[in-house]
Formats: sequence, C-alpha cells, structure tokens
Amino acid sequence: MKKATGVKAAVAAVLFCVLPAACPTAHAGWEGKGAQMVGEIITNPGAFFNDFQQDLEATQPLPPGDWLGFQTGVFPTTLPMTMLNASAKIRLHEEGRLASGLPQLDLFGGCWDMVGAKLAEKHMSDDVNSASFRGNYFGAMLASSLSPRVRLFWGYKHSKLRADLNLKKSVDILGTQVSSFQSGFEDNFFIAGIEHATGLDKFWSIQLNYGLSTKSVASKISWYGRHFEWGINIYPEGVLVLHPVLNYHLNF
Amino acid sequence: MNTFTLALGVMLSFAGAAKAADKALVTAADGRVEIKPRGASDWAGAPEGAQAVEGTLVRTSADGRALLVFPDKSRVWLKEGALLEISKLDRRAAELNLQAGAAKIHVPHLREGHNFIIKTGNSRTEARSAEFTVAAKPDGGTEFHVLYGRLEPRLVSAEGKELPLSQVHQGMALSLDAKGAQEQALLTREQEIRAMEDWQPGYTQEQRVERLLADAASRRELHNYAREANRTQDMVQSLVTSVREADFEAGRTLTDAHGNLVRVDQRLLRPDNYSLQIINLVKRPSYEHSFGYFAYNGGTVENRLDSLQVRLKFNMSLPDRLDSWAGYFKQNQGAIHPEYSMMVAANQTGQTSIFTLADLALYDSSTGLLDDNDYVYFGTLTDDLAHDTAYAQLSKIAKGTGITNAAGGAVLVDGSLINGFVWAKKDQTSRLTSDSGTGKLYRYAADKYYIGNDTSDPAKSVWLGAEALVISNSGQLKNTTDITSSTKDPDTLARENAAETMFYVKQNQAGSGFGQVSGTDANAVTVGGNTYYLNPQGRNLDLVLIPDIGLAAVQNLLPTLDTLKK
Repeated sequence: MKKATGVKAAVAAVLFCVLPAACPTAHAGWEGKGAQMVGEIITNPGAFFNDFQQDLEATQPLPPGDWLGFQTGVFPTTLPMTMLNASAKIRLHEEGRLASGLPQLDLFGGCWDMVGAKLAEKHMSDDVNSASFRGNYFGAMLASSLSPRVRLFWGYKHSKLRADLNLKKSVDILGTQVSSFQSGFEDNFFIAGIEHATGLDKFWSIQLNYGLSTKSVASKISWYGRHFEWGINIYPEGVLVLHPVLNYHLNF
Repeated sequence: MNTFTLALGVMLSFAGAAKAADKALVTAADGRVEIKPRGASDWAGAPEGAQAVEGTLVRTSADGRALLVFPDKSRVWLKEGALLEISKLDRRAAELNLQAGAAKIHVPHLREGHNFIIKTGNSRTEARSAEFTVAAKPDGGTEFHVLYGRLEPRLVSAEGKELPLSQVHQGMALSLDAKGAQEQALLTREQEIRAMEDWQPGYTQEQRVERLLADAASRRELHNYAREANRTQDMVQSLVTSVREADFEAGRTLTDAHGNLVRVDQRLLRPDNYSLQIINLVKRPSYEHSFGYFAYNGGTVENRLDSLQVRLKFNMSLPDRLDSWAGYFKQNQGAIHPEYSMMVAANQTGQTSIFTLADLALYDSSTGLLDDNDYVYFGTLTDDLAHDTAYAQLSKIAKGTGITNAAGGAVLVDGSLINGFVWAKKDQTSRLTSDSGTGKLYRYAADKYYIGNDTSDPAKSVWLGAEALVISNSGQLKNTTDITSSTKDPDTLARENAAETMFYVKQNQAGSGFGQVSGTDANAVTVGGNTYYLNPQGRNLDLVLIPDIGLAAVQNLLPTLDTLKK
C-alpha cells in the first residue's frame, strides 16, 4: 500500500494494518493454528509456562478435619511436561477454633523444576548450552462455611517462574532465528472460590484466580477425593486455554 | 471496711463463681419440661430460669422443648420426648448422657483442659467448637448429624471398653447401630434442613425455618452470581476459542504525553464479508495540551473524544475465522486484493461539530498497490438541518464509497455536498521533517496541500502537520534504546508502551522550512462561492494508539509475517 505521508506510515505501523496483499505462505487449518500457537509462545513464553505452574498449584483449602497436606501434579505437569513438583499445605487455624465464625487459615506453597530441560542440557550438549525451567509459589487461604456442606474460600498467592534456554546453534522457527530466550513470570494473585462436599471425603470446587499485575484471569473446576483431584483449568488468555488436570494429594 | 471484711467478700465472690460454674440453666422451655435432681423421688416442673446441677435428669414431654445453657456457654436444645442426664458438671467439664430422644448441641471454643462430652447408650463423644444433633435411637443405636466443626466419637461396648471411631466432620452423618456397626455419609438435604432449623422452644414451624429461608435467599443470590459468572466465563471461552475477528477487543487506561488521563478502546470488526474495520477510540475526561511542536489553539476541553477508523475492503469475501485467512489468501493468491482503504481520524468532542481528517486510497491495478494519489480530506463536519447530522456525515465518509472530489475543493458523498469539508492535493516538493535528535522516539513533519488543487489562491495553501511519539503507560517519552536494548519480551514491551500521534491543519505563511507553518489554524476558505469554516475552534487530532489488537492479529497470522518479512 502506497502511503501518502510519512505520518500515515507512523499510524499504520503502530496500528498494524492486516495486509493480505502480501501473499502469505501456505499454512491452512491445523498447521496454521499450530503456527499461531508457536507465535504466542515465542512472544510470551513466561505466560505459557505459568499456565502449567497454575495446574500444579494446590490452591484449595484443606478439607475439614485435615491439618496437613502434600500434593504433586501428575498431568499435564509431570507428564508430559516433565515438571517434577511438590506442594504442601498446613492449617494454622481450624474454623471456629479460637472464636465462633473465625475462618480456617491455611498456608500453602510449592515448587517445580523441569527435568526434561536438565536432561536436554546433559544429553544434548551439542545443541543445548543450558536449560533451566523452574518455579515456585506460596500463599495463604481462608475458608468459611456457608452451610455444613458448602465453604467459601479466598486467599492470596505469589507465583514466580524462570525459563532460560540457550542453544549452541540457532534454530529457524517460522523464519525467525532463535538461539536463546530468557523469560520469567511473577505475579500476585487473588483467589476466590466455593467448595461443595459431594460425599464422604469428596468435594467439588470452582475457583477464580486473578493476577493483580498481569490482570490475567484463570479459573479452576475440580473434583477431588481422598487422594486424587481431577480438574479443568481455563486460561482465557493462554495458548491452550483448556487444561485437563490430574493431581495426587495426601492429607492428614 | 476492714481487711477481714474485704477478704471475706473476695472469698464469697469466688465461691459464688464456683457455684455458678456447677449449674446449667433452663433458659427457655415450652410445653412440659421437668427436672429431677439426684436423690429426688419425684419430677418437678422446670420453668425458665430453673437450675440443673450434676446428677440432674431433664426430660421433655411429647409436646415439650427446652434449652439448657451450661457454664462454658454450651447450649443444648432438647426436642420432644427427650431424656437427658447431667452426669458431670464442674468448672472444667460437662458430661451429658442422652438416654432418649434427640438434642441439638452447640459447643463453643473451649479452653485447654476443658471438655464437653455427650454420651448415649453405646457412644461417648467429645466435642469442641462444633454444632451437631444427636439422637438416641430406640434400638440402642445413635445418630449424629454434624453441622459445623468435628466430633471425635468412641464406641462404648457393653463391658465399658471404648473404641475410637473415625472423626465426623461438618456436613457428615454418623449412624451407629446397637451392635456398634458404623456408617458415615454426607448429610442429605433433608437431614441438613432438620438439623439447621431453629430448635428454640416455643417457635412455630414457620419461625423455625425463617432463618433457613433467609439463608437460602442469600444463597440463591450467590448461585445467581455464580451462574452469571459461569455464563460470562463460557462467553469468554467461546470468544477465545472461536477466534472471531469481530470479537477482538482491546483496551487500556494510561496517561498521554501531556499528562492527561486517557482511556483507549479498540475494536476489530467485520462490517461485511468483504471488509475489515479497525476502530480506535481515545477518551479523556479533560484535555490540556502541553507537549509538541505545533501550536494548539483549542484550549482546555472536557470529555474529549478522538477516533481513528480504518476500513479495508477486499474484492472477495473473507472467511469468518481469522486463523483461516492465511490458507485462504494462499489459495486465492493473485485473485484477491484490497479495493480501497479509508482512514478517518476525528475529534468528536462536540457531537454537532467534528473536526475530521481522512485519507482514501484506491486499488491501482497497474501497480497492484493502494494509492491515494496524494489527496487528503479535512474540515469540520457540522449538523446540517437540510441533510444530515455531523455524526451521520462522518459515518458516510468512513464507509469510503461514493466520495467525489468536486470543483474548488468541495466534497460530495453519495451526491450530497458535505459543508465545511474539503479535499486537497499535496505539493510533493514541500515535505518538512524533523526529529528530536536526542535519541527520543519523537518525530514531527509537515506537508503542504492545496485545497481543490488551487495553487493560485494563497488562502487555499495549508500545511498538514503531524507529530508521532512513543510513550509509556505513564506518559513518559521513550528513548530508542528503551525498545532496542530492552530485555523484555515483545508482548510485555507492547503492553507497556503506546504511540501518540497529533495532527494539525495550519495556515501557510512566508518563511522557510518550518517557518512556513503558521501557528494559526487554517479556517475560513471560499469553496464554490461559499465560505467554509474548516476549523473554527482551533482543534487538533490527538490519537493514542495501542498495539494490542495488532499484536493479537500478529499472533494469529504468524505465517503471514514470514512472507512479509521476506
């Protein structure tokens, strides 16, 4: 498009006019979708890995009666992402213990490290200089009963991750030469949710996580029992949007 | 008062307190409620205020209910046909034996070393910070419904041996039969309602459920809120997963280079199957101008609104889904091309008077490019009672069709004259440019135009001045190195920065270089025998542009970028 003035060029450049006349390459259907997703990952890899970190974070309150809990994410974190992880929760105050109406207070936290990155660094030393993907989180949660079977919970969480990759040789990714990227993600989240008892040691919960700095929203719908948690996490601004999740926990 | 008297008074007060700790009080009674102290042979009526000590039996008739309050603030509501023995009662412990009927018990937080125990035929249960109902079944079994907190029940055998059972948490029911077999389950809805009813003596059935109904209403509100939140979530999810361009939106609140608070809203729309339209709205609660090269004569303005619309129309219908475009353009390579683009910037602060700048570029089949032939359109649209409102005229111009350049500089849209709006042709040799020279991302430029391509009338020589700068969200002017040397990823850079561009139409004056650009805005001009007031209020266009929609489009059309780069 011929631009009449340099001023218009400034406007068009920052606005990014979508120009089909440039005759794009042939990526139709799934290939195009995959290229789009790769583009989203490249422009913000930290946000992409943060979605997986949120999958493994133990942000439900401990069930009534339990005071200590351990959790590890199985899917999609340990498998297939090789994100070895461990989380713990401890109850500081049982609901109504000190005074009637005082909510339950839990502290929680955890960390993860991507084993696959370490293996790549060790066994692919011709290609990979260094690779490190890790993260951690911690927070506090309050839970209060709305009725005997329904609890409302709300809390705060701080999440942080670091993703560093250095390649020995540049790799062509859709016309862009990539030899390294360093990315991170750090944010404070406000969490609010509802938990509903559906059976003996069985619960259903839905929660919303709101990132205060990034203004991102994520929601989790979970069904959990004594040991396993099945869930669907929704990241509207994420690459994959929907993450089915499986976590394992032990509570005491 | 002497020392002895004082000491006696203190001792008596302690004794009184100790005595009070040994008594439970019947604070409410309805129907026939009776008590029988230890050693007594007959039952006596227990009106409100009656006291029950250790060893006392309390019973209610078939129509009776009672409420007992214990020294540790525990409360026991007895239902009809209940029989309760106060086995032990002192300052540190209360031990009750429910021999028949049902009771609802509320145990508050107890201090360390203080206990509250409820026994039935085959159970012994310790409770603290809990609310629950307990029923001694006729067959010797026991049933617990725990509302809040937890219980630690023990099974008591006929020989008196105690066997700990699983803790019972809130929302759970524990049923023990006479032989001690236990069954735990979630409270059913009916059990929950029965337990949560108000057991206060003397209440009617309606009064018992009054609080529950109020709670249910509150919960319905919560459910409605949750349902709405879910619906919004579904909507967001469908918007994201379907990737429809018509639903692309972006918005940001920031500060412009002058220090004004700005709200920018962008939309990417599909007005029809052949067209794409990007709208950028810039809203300011108040506008004060304090930065830039060109003179601003419009004064302080309240509730300012600037808009930029870019409409691009193609010769072929486009797919609905943006992520299908890459393949579609490849398939129709050589056949598909844009027919025209129309860029319209407007200061819409006064709805009846809109200062407007427009550029229409048409497809040139010989070159395969969009070309505006160095024409530009500008002026102030006003309400025309004979034809259209200013806003309607703006909408017509933004469509980009039916525009005719008439003699003298007049503009017709669909055959109708647009008063106050002219076309002008650029003097290609006139271009003036400058930058800050300090590494800042700030440039300004000016081009000379002749209204109606009339080079003989000095009044029809005007300068279109433009300033472009890159700012942070707090309005700070960015340096080149802030972008090129940044370690931040492109997405973060895009979200932390914005572009601001200002347009002016100035009179021509004698001089050289930028000295030819007057500080006075081009205004009154004669077109076709009529006087046009191009900019009576001395306005400018001050647009803040955010790359959010562009970034989203880039991510969706990454394959396209590969060829663009080449």
